Amino acid sequence: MHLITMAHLGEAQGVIEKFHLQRITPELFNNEEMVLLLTGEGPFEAATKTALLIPRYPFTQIMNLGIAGSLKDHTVGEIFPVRTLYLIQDLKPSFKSFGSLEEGLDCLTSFERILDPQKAIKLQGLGHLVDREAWGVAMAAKTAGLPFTAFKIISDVAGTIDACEIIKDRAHEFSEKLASFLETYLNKNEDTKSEEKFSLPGFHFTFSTNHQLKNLLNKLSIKEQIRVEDLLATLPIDELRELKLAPKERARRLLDHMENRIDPLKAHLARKKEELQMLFQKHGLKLEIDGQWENPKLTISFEAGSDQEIQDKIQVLKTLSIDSFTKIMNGEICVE
Amino acid sequence: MWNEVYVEEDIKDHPRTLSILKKVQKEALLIEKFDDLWGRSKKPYLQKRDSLNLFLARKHGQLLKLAPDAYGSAGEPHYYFIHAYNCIYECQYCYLQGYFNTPDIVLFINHEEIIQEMEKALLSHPGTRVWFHAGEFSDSLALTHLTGELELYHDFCQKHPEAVIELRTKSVNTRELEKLTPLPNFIISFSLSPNEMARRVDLKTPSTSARLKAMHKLYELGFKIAAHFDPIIFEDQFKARYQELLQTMQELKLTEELEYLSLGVVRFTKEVYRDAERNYPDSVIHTGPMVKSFDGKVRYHRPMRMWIMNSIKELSIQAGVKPECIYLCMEENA
Repeated sequence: MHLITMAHLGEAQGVIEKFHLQRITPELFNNEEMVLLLTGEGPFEAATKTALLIPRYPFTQIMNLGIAGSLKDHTVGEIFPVRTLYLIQDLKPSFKSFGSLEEGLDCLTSFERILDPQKAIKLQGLGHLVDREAWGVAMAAKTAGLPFTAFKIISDVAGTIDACEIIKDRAHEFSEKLASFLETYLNKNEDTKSEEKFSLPGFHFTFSTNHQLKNLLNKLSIKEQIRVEDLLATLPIDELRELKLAPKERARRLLDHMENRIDPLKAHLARKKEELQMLFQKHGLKLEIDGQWENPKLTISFEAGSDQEIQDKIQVLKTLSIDSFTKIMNGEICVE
Repeated sequence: MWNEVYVEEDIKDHPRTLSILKKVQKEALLIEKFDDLWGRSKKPYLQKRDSLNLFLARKHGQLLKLAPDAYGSAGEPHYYFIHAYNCIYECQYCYLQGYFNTPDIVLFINHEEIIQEMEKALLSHPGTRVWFHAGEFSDSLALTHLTGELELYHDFCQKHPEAVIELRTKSVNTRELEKLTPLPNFIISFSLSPNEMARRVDLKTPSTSARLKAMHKLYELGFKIAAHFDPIIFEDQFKARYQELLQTMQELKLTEELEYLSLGVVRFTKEVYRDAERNYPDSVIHTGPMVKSFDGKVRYHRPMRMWIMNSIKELSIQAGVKPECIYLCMEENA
């Protein structure tokens, strides 16, 4: 379910009509798929009202829609996606900012209306637009862990004294434009929801190994600069299918192959580790090497039931060497 | 290039401020203190692409910082001086993407005070060579056509032969430098990667070929030069790629003339790694086998990074770099 927030009834009229929203309270409207909240002006008012409403409905995303003043040369009546939201108090930005969309304009939510051109000039480096509520809505959405987006229609040039009059005069036009935009946006969003999936018959990936597969495919595709589809053709998928293996084991081997392509030392290190451990194990000694290969020291341990056994182990230890381990840790590795 | 230019009231009439403003040709917005606006709110790093602001300010507080142990060649004190915050380039591994809350650039204009601090540092290490590095928080040459401070640092080196200044850069903006006389203690060091890797990860920087050309030009003029192969990013063909780079350097007679060559494998703090993943999800920098290493930083595992650095060290020596001039940067027991 969508939560749409707008500051005033004037801006929201078009949305109410286009989506046939029913009035629940003076500030709340809904239909089966959408709730519209009128937040009023001011970041704290918007944050509080949005936060109080969130637990009452199963919202999946929150959008702020409305008018904004332009700090640059944007055309009045044009709608822009918002990229980042900043809060401005006494013409200074507060620390917390919120992201909306990847691309778009930056919006400053101000505690006060910016009617003085000198004030508007000072804000120009901080963002493109000024509004009065979006940051508050974003804060409530992000705190609740819900995706947030904002779109603004340019209503006036920030820093002009007669801005309020212009907005009043064109309120109906802005409201209609916002409603049409929302309809198009929601339809488009529905169309792009289908997720790309692929399957490998003969291989069984669990939830976590499937995640690992996707991750490795992505990494290899970036590393080797080839598309995932082309990358798949370079993997030993057919060879593994021909082997008499359980589908889960087949998947494990494929992942191993991919990991070795990411880290050409992986197999070499695993083999060396095993050789060294076997050597020590043969003499009743346990050898532990940091699994991350970061600690340049290893641990050797043994069990003993008498002084003689300790002496015996010490004698054996004198004949053993960890030089191959030291060399590995110093990068003396022959891998081509 | 600049979205807006902000200037602190106190320095609005400073000749260096006026000179910069004349060059940027943008009307300045006056503010009381740069950090009233700069870094006050979290501005996403990539917004530098379309809304980069410039702040001209006076640096207060610490003007000079002692560098960590493994920062430069061992055994001598190393400091870095802070003449600017943030950089015009966009290297995908850069720690600046997670260091400040904003990518907006600050140029400090009180270089005389920075130099006074450097003189104090010299007094605290009598009889020792003391290193001063520029370029910790910003490229040290990229904006010198605007800032015009090089001459002051050059004079400092001339006056204090016991001091060494390193200007670390990826820039080819050597115009201001070329006006100066080369000095033995005034070193220009270039960060270099193989061409293709630089193209992939050093966004908005001059190509490696262009950097080598600039380096060669300075060498021909008599300047002391150095190189950093840092960060080294793993790719299957890394040996061949570095061999090619070193061969080009050798052809330009640069390898034998290097004052030093530092080698360092790509590394991140946990926070910067996260920032880099978010900013550049499709970057090759995330494709290697990264682990949390000895100092908490995210790096390739130790055998891999030592293998990479040993291999490149060997190639460098083969290409004529003096072994004693090579050091491994920010590496434990290196």
